[in-house]
Amino acid sequence: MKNQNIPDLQKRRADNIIWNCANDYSFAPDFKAYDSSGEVDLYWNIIFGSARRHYEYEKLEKLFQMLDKYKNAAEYESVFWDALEPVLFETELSGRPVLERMRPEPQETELRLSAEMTTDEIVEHAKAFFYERYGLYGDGKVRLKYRLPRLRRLSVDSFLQRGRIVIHEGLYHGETPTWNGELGLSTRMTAAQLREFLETKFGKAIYPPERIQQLEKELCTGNHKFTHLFYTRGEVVELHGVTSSFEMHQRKRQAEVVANNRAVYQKNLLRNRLQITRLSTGIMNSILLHLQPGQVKAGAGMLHAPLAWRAAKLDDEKVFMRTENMNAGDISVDILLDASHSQFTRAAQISSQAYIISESLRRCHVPCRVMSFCSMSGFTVLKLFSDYASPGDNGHIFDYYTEGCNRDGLAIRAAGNLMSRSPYEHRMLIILSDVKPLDVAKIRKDERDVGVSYDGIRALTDTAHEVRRLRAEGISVINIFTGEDENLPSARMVYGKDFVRIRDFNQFADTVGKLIIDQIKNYAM
Amino acid sequence: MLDFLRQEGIEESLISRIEQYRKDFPVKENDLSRIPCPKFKYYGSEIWKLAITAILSGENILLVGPKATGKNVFAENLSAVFARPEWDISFYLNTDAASLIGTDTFRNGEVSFRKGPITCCAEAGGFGVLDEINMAKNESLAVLHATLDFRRIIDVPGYSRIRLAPSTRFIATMNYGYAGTRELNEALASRFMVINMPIISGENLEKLLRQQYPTLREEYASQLTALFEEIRRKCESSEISTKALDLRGLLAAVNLVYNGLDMFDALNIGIINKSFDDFERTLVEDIVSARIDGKLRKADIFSAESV
Repeated sequence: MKNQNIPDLQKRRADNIIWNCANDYSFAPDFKAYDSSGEVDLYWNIIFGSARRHYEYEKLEKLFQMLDKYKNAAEYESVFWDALEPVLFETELSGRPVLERMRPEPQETELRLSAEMTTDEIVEHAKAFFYERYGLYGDGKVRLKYRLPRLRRLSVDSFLQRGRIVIHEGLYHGETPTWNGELGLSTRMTAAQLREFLETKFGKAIYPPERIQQLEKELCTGNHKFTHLFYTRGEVVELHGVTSSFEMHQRKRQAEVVANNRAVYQKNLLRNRLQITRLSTGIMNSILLHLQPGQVKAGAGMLHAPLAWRAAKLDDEKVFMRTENMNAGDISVDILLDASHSQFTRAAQISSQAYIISESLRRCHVPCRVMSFCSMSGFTVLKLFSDYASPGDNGHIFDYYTEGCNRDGLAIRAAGNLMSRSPYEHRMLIILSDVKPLDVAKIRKDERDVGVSYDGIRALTDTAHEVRRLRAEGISVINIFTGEDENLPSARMVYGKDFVRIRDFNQFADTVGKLIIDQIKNYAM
Repeated sequence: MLDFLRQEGIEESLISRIEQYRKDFPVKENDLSRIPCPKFKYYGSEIWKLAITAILSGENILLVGPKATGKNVFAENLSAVFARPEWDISFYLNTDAASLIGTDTFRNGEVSFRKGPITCCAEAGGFGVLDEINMAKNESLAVLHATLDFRRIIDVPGYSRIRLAPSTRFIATMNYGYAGTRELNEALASRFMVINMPIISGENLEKLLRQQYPTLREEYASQLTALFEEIRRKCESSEISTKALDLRGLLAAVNLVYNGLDMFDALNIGIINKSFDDFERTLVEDIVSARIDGKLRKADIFSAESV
């Protein structure tokens, strides 16, 4: 059974047992044990957790990294754990007498470790043992005389042979990739070719061409005339035929960034979870407080005797009381992420922030949709990560990847268009951006017009206009500013007072919470 | 109770002032039944010292702390120590002036005033426990401002102005983070001395278990304490909600074992089942099974004389 086949809930359960026994919740567990049906193995996870508590785990991690360079890593690691298990069992027994009853038959190992050894001694001892017994140099190479596989045969049954699945989840250790400025686009492509190119780059298009045409007719007007839209959920299109090495390289780079997004989130797991709890509690409280059912005067409902005279004397028909039912289901939130290249260095931070907000909303049962936008060759690409109906998808937010330019005005207009179809009464749009709109596609009045560039004050005014338009439609628009200080005046210009700047991540929940709560208060009025 | 305070290491000077307080403010015959006899004792000499001094100085106190910090136990303990009749007033969303101070009612053919708990407490010079004070809307608590500050009065429109008996004190409790709780506004908070209730320490929890069940074997008192700490850690890292972090449930579970259930069943209904989410329940169950042998029975965990 592979890692993917273990149900998520079981993985989470294994994490929890390990955290509990390690008495520490701030790391992402690497080794996890399950039985052959995929159910967690309580005993072994306790052992993995207590290893964290009793030893300096970073040193053990180095040893595992060394073993991971070999094809038989899983077997070697099980030899090591079998040797460490009796030691940990003895140490833990006084604190957990119940282990006595739980312990499976211990395995005989040639590697001998004792409770008196320090972590360094254990690692040294193990390294020496793996060299002597299996001829491992430690750099992925094997001593000459051990090259024949049968000489490296294990003396004990590995975990797998005992019907136990132990999965070692490595984290992404790579360096942050750097951008070299290529876009890989040829302007001589036709619109259809461009769409195909965008499909391979961003994912399958959601809408058929006719629907897109209609949307473009509706949205790509005014300052955005002659530009195009592209909607996707990021479903990967398999590369076929001859693909350029450039495209392969791009995909690889994207995978690295995505892995880094996740790794950074995992690294700050404890802090992030705390932020989620604080944010969701704040939002929940504010929903409970401000959006309770209330009595309002209405033209129909239960007759309210003290008002009845008004009907006869003042011709006021509102002499009835009606219970205004407001619940969290009446609010929906859309999160729009600026995925232009200027956000490149902040990708991990932005994806974490977006995840924290959407996860907090999910816990409050507030429908939430997350999308990112960027522009390329005249196309503004909207990529949907999760939708109102599928809150569980919010893990996809970590697929956030930045490239190209950003035509904020059009993106906000398109997001507003999606939201106008939302069935919810109160709609909120949270935009994470550096408020630095810039696009290579110019603003053109007609086909012969050479146009003016979409940047600077012209682009800002356009964006501000779109924000005001949405607000006029009753959508609350707030901005979480992710840029540099020098652009703060732009944010103020476009979003008015409804923007925040996150200076300290530990304040994230409080700052963003306050902004969201203020909006909810407004709904109640 | 005063002997208990001595055991907890409270200075004799404070204790003698409590005795003086008791002498100065005798309790009326009718109210004697309102003086509580606490089942649980609060352990923590620092907190005792803060609260006793504040009450002796004429202040009201606000106990703030998360779940399972013994806010209500402590409030009850305080009433007992000072031997004051206690009025318990639970606050909820729709708490309003009428439910606190009193309201007009129809009696013997005429409209008369029916006193609310705050008014009764003020007249008798008792201790009013304002439980979960932050569940109520701040606006409806404004009627208490004059009662709680230096004016010490309750002004009932159309009735009269009631002066608080000198021994009257109010002890409010609040919990951050429950759904439905809100910030207390400054005007109200400034009328209290605020005591942050610490999370019960492992040592004090063990003491509590041993006091409640003197025959509980030491090793199991410490196992159960460790179990409770582990559940708390899991709550703090927000892997589970605080539903399973239930001190009352833990104490009750021990009692169930004493009365014949096996350990697993007792912890199941005392703690594990407090979470209504399946997955959360599994996580709590894992913590329990990683520590406690489910088959344990009374004879295993209690020493011989009680069996």
